[in-house]
Amino acid sequence: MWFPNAEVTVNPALLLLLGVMVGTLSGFFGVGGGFLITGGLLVFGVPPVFAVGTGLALIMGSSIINTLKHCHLGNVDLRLGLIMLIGTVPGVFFAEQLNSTLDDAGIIGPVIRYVYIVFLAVFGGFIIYDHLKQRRNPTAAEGEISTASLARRVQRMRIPPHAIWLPGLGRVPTYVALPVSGIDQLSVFIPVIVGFSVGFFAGLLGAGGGFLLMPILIFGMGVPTTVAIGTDLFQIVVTGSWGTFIYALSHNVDPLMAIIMLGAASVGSQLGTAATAFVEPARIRILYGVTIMGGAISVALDQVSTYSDSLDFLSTLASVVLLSVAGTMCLIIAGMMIKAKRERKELATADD
Amino acid sequence: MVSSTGESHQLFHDYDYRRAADSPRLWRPKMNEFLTSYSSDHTLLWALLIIGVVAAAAISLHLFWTGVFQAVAALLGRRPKTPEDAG
Repeated sequence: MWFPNAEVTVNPALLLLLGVMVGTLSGFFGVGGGFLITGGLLVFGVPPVFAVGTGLALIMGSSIINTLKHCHLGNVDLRLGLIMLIGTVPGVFFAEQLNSTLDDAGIIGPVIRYVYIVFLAVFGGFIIYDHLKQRRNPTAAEGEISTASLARRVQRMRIPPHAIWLPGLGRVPTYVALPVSGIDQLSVFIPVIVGFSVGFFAGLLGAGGGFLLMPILIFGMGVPTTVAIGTDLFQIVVTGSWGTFIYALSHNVDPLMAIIMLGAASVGSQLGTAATAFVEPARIRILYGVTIMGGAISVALDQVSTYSDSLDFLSTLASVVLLSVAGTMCLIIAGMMIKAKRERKELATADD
Repeated sequence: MVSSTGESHQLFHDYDYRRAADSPRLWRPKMNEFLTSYSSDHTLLWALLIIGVVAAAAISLHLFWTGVFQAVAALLGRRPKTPEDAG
C-alpha cells in the first residue's frame, strides 16, 4: 500500500501487526511504546523522521483509547495527572531548546541513544532486581515493592512554602490528598518536579516518556501499579499530542499510516487493559522490566551499528530483537490473562 | 542483500526511498493528492487536522469497542464490567 506523505510502500498487514502489539503493551504497561513503534517502522522501510512522527501520532491515539479504558476501570488518578502536567509542559519546552542546541552541534543522534540506553537499562535492571529481591524476602507482603519505605518518606516530605496565595482562592495549602492512589497527603511540588523531569526527557528523546514515569510513580511515590499505569497514560496523551503537533508542522507525520495502526492498536488495547485486572501487579512489573531491558539491548545494538559500515546489520538486528521481545510479551500477556480467567472461573465454580 | 540463490532481498538499509517515490502504486488518487497538497499548503491547519483526526478516531474506536463489549455482555446475559470488578 502506497503512503503518499511518507512516500513509501508498506504492507498494511505488517502495520496492523505492529499496531496490535503496541496497543497490547501500551494498555498493559501504561507506556506509549515509542521505542517499539519507531523500531518497527524502520524495519518496514519507513524513513526515520516519518517513523518518529507517525509513531508519536500512534502513541497519542492509543494512549487516548487506553486512558479512557483505564478511566472506566478506575485506574486513573486525574488529580495527580493534572498536577504533574504543570511540570510536564515546561519540561517538554526546555527539552526542545536543548534538542535544537544539540542538533546544531551535530551530536543529537548519539546523545539521544546514550540517554535511552542508560534510562532503559537502569530502570529495567532495577525492576528485575526489585522482583528478585522481593521473591527472596520471606517477610515481604505479596506485591509489595522493595522501595516501600522510600515511597513513604517521599509522601511525608514537607517542602516550603506550605501554602500559596492564588487570586480568587486566597491562601491554598500546597499539600493534596490523592485518594485514588491511596496517598493521604503529598506536597504538590513532588509531582510537579516529577512531571517536569519526565516532560524534559520525553521531549529530548522524542517519546511519550511513559517508560520513565511508570517506575517513578510506583517505586518513588508509592502509587499502586494499576493506578500508575492509568495515570501514566493520561500524561502520555499530552506529551504525545504535543510531539505529534510539532512533527506534523514539519510534514513528518503520515496520517494514513497512523490511522491504520491505530485501528489495530485499539484491538490490542482491549486485551492489554483488561489483562491488568487479571494479572498480579508484581508480574506486570517484572514483564515490564524485561521489555525495557530488551529495548536497552536494541538501542545499544543500534548505536554500535553506527561505529562502522561493516556493522550495519546490527541496526536490523536491533529492530528484530525489539519486535521479538514485544511479540513474545504480547503472547505471554494473552496466556496469563486466559490462565487467570480460567482460575477465577474454577474458583467461582468451587464456591458455588 | 543478495541471497545464495541470487535473489535480491531488501533490508531497511538498502531501501531506496527515491525509487519508491518514483513508482507509486496510486491508491485513491484524489485522497493522495489531498494528503500531499494540503500538508504543504496549510501547515498549521494540517497539524491541527492530524491531531483532531487521530483524537476523533481514538475516541470513536473506544466507543465502538465499549459498545461491542456491552452488546456481547448483554447477549451472554452478563453485566458489563465496572471499576469494582477491576479489583
